[in-house]
Amino acid sequence: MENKNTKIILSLLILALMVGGFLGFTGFLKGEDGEKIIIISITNKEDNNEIMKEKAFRTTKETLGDFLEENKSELEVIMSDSQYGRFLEGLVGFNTESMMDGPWWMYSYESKSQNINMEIGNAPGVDDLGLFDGDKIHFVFTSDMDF
Amino acid sequence: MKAKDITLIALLASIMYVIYIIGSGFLYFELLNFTVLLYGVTFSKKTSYFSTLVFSLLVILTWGLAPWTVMYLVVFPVYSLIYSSLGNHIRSEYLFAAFGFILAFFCGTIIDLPYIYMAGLDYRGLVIRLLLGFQVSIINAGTTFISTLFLLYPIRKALLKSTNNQVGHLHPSVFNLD
Repeated sequence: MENKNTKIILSLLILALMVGGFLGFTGFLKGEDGEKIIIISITNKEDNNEIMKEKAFRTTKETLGDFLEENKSELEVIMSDSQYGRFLEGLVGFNTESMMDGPWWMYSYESKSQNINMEIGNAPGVDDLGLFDGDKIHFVFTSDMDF
Repeated sequence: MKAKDITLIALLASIMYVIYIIGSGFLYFELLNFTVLLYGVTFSKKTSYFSTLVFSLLVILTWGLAPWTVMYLVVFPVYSLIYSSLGNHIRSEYLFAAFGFILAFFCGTIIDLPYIYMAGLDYRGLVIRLLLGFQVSIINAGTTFISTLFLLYPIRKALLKSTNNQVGHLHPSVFNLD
């Protein structure tokens, strides 16, 4: 009986650690609140067409996913839900037709304030990418995964 | 290796693959690490090692050759050897659960190592990448800890009965179970 109680107490402690750890890690990855400027560039690498070059957007959203949702109509954003968060499938009229063969929407992320520079394909998913004032995001539509 | 050995290894690898496929439907909760621990401390070193090896080959066959599938081939057989060695020295299910927690926590990060290396991340990028992984790892580790506490000994006893105490296939420690 004592053994069973010890197991239950330990399990509850571990559950608390799981919840606390998860929320702690999530909080650390959150973006900056308040108004900020985000610089967006968009390139279709399939036909080497530069669609948008360093256009500034004003936003209060804390993640890239929420920013894209906010600018859904202007940027013609299509996102699908998955267990890993939202997945970017379409932007400015170009959509991923085949998940196996592409082309897909990839992006690079540069944050001067956070001293972060992530090349195309290395940035986290749209719901895990926190936004800070002056961040630059370059979306590239490509079927070339060899960056 | 006898036909009986190969059959047992194939059966254990298949069970592991089924557990893996069921777990892949839930992002944070998986029992794969618990299963490796269970095999490592229940079956002989050879049986648990080859079971995890065959499981990893099944993953490569079904998901293709990729850095993460190759890492499965490295991580899980090595984990089974670690658990097998621990089984020689540890009796307490609390200690098994603690080791299960630690190894399950680092499992995802180890599998991610080739991608971290190829990404050429700077310091901040690396911290973000690790923290994103830890979000999932902490829950996997907790799941392994709790399942080890409650399931390890009952399942070991059941496996001991179902294998008719075949000495060659079982970890020496299972014969000392209360």
